[in-house]
Amino acid sequence: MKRYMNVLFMAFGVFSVSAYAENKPEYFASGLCESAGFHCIKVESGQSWASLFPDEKQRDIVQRVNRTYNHLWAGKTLAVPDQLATADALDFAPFAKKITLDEKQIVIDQDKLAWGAYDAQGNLVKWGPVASGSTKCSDSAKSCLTLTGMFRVFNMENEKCVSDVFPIGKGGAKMPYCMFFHKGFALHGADDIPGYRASHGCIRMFTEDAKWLNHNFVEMCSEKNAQKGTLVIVKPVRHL
Amino acid sequence: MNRLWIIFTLICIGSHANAAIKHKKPIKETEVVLQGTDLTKVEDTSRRPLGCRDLGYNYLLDTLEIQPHAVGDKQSLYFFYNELSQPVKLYHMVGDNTAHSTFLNHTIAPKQWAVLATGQSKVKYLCALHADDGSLGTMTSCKQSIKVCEFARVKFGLNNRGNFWVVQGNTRAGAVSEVVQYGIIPQ
Repeated sequence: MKRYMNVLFMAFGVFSVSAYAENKPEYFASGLCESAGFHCIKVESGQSWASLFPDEKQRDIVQRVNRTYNHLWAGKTLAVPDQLATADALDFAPFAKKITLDEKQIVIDQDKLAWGAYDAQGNLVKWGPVASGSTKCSDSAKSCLTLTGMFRVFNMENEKCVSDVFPIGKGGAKMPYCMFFHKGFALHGADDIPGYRASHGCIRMFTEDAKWLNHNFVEMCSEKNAQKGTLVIVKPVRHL
Repeated sequence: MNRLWIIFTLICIGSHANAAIKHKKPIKETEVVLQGTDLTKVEDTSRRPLGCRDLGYNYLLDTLEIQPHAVGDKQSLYFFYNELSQPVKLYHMVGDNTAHSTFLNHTIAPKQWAVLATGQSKVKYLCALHADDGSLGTMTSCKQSIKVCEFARVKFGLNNRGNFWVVQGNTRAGAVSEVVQYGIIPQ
C-alpha cells in the first residue's frame, strides 16, 4: 500500500512542477542569455543590485536590459552586457535610432517590454522598460490586456497621482507622474516592474522615466496644441 | 500513516482540479458566434445602423481605403459588417513608419459588426479569409466580404479618442449599444 502511495505522490509531484512551470511568467532576461553580446549570471544569496553593480550608470543599464529594478532574489538570472563598462543605455534600445516622423511620439512595444520616445525629427531620445497589462488579471477572471492603438495624452498629474479604482473597492494605488492617454489607461511610474506584463492595463515604467516624460516630453491636450496631446502608440502583443 | 497519505492525495487532487478550472482556456467570442448562431434563421442584420452613412471609404482593387477627412471630421467612427459565413481578417496596411507604428488588424466573425474609431486621414486594409492553422489566410476582395459605413458626426470625449477597435464583433444593435456604453455618441 505504502509503495503505491509513494508512486502516486511522485506522479502528483511531477504534475505539480509541470503545472507550475506552465503558469510561471517568462522573464525578459532569460531570452537574452543566448544572444551575442550578453552573458548571464545567477544572483546569489545576499546579493543586491548595489552590491552586484556598484556603479550607478552600469546598474541602470543592467536594469533596463533586464526590464526590471525589483528586489533581487537568490537564483534569479540576470543578463549582463559583455561591454558594460563602456556601454550607454541607448546602445541597448530595442527601437530604431532614427525614423521618419512628423510629430513627436511615445511608442510602447509590449513584446519588447519597452517604451521609446521620439522627437519631432524622428530621433530616439530616450527609452526604458515597461510592464503593461497582463493577459489575465491577478484579482479577477477577466483579461487585463492594455488597449492597443494610437492615442493622445489628455491629462497628467504629478508624483502624488493615485488610482481611483485599484486596489478594487478602495483605490489608492500609487501611480506617480501618471499620464492618461485613453479612459483609465495611463503611463505611470511604479516600484514593481517585474520583467513581464503584470499590470491591470496601465503602462508601468521606472519612476524616474515617468518623471522625465512628465516633466520634459509629454504635453496634454489643450487649446494651444489644438487638443492634440502627445501621441502614444501602443503596439499589440504578438503572442498571447 | 496510510491515512495521512490518503488525505494528502485527496488535497492534491482537489487543488489540481481547481487549477484546471481556473486555467481553462476561455472560449473566444468568434467560437461562441460560430457555435451559437443558426445562420438560416438570422434576420437581415446587414442593414446599416440608422445614421451610419455610405460615405468616407473606397474599395481600391481588392483593398479597402478609409478616408475620414473626406467628410471633414477629425475623429470618426466606422462600422464594418462581415457579409460572409466565415471570419474575415482585416490587415492594416501601414506606410513608411511600419516598424514604429501599430497595426490595427482585426478579425470579424461571420455576420457580425465591428467598430473602428479613427482620427487618421487614411487607413488601408487588406481582407483575407481566416485560416485555422495560424497562417495569414487567403486574400479576398474587401468589396465582396465587408460592408462599411461611417458615422461622420460623432461626439468623442477627450478621454476616449484615438485609433482603436471599439467593438470586436456584435449584432447591429449590440454594436451600437456597445459604442454608446463606451461613451461615444453617434449622431
